[in-house]
Amino acid sequence: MKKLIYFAMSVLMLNVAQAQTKETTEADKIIGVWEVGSGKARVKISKYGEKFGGKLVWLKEPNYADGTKKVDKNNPDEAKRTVPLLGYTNLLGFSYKGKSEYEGGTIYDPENGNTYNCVISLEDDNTIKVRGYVGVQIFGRTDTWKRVTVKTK
Amino acid sequence: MNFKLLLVPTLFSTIALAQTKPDSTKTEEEDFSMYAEVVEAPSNSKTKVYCSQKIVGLSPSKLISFGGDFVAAHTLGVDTINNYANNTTNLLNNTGVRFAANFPVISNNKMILSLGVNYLDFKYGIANTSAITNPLPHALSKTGLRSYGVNGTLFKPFNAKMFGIVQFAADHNSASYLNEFNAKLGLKYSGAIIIGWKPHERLQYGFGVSQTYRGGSLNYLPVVLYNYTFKNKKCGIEMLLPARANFRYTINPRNLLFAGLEFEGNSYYMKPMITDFNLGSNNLQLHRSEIRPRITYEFRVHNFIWMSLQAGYRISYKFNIDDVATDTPPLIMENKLAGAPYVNISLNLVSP
Repeated sequence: MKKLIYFAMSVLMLNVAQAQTKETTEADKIIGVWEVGSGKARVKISKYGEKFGGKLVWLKEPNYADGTKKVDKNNPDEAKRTVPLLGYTNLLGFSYKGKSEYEGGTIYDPENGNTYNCVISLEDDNTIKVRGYVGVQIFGRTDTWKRVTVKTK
Repeated sequence: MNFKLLLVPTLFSTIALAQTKPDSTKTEEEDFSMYAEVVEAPSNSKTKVYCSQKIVGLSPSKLISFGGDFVAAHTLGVDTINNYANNTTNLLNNTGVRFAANFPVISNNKMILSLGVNYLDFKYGIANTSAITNPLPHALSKTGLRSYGVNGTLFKPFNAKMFGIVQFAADHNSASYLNEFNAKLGLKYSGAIIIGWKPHERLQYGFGVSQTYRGGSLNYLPVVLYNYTFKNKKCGIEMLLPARANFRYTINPRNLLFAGLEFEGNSYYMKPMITDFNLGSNNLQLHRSEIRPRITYEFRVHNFIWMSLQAGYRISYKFNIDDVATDTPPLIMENKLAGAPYVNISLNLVSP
């Protein structure tokens, strides 16, 4: 009888683990390096706990005309205006809601220092649509990002 | 067995908890050079790179705008019409209320379609209204000039460098109250088609044609679009001729200064002139057109709410009455509206 209970519990735990793995696998499809629609930047999306976020890992123009590295000079918070843009976390707090959609996050635009509400949808494994908006989604714009693979040397 | 079963989820949760929320301001010491050499992953969707609607440093476009004009005291030299004599009418002021809203109905890499509404209400303050005898000052004093309508703009990028813009507007322009809608005599249609290029992130330009009432009456005019930000990104030019041209100085992304001019005008159905006087016409239209050289200061009040303060001088180009029904003679009143200084203030919700 004990063996039967152990067996039933094992099967149950395995099913739960498999379901969680499937959900995790689907959600994790967003992890990787993405190039923004304008081709001016690349963003690396990672998982932080249960949420997803991303940081700038490449800029087409990483330096100012005088050769110094670009910083977040447009940030409304004066204390953050010396933070380098390369490595800056510009996507924050995305949760996977199923059906290839990620919600509840924000996107920061260093070009004007604005932070927008944001939703991301996975079009296919290598294409995401990132919509930044103000308040309601109608006041926003969608950008299509393409996955890029880092060349191995 | 029990211990092993418990161990697995505990291990997973420990790994999960070990990862924490990133700090947006903390940049890790990492070698980013590896991200310079990449290959694009194959994609099922037919996505290609399109140019965006904006250039670097361009002033934010207004989604919702509510504001008012105040034009200082000036004179209106009124022409003779029928047996009503000419005179010079003193205008104490000319005030205007302006409201406009534009909603991006479709907004993605491939196209941006915005639909909007607008409302303009001009009042003419005349000192001694009981002494008015000429039909034109009577109409201006009674109802003022009112415009309301709908408009749409389609921005369609063809590739990373080339784009097209199609604009249309239908406005009801008249000297009448809001509930006196007259589709036949009040409605005016305007539009423009532009083909443009965006060679780099600081320049876009285009050429096209427009059907416009900016000159007071219906005209077909060439259109030139030119938006440019200088290398220092502090200065720029924002131009859509013949409508407006501005030199932009960016104090910082939240404070902008402009110097330029606007060419504004329309054709208005003058209902009170027809209903309150026997002038022998069913369709008198006021051809109003003016040029406004001005300086503008725009600044962010809070998040996406911006304020615009403007001061300039209004130069009247046309303020004539035309009998559109007969079209002979071309103008039945050639009036002289004097120039005057003006100010404008508006509160705006700007685009992300």
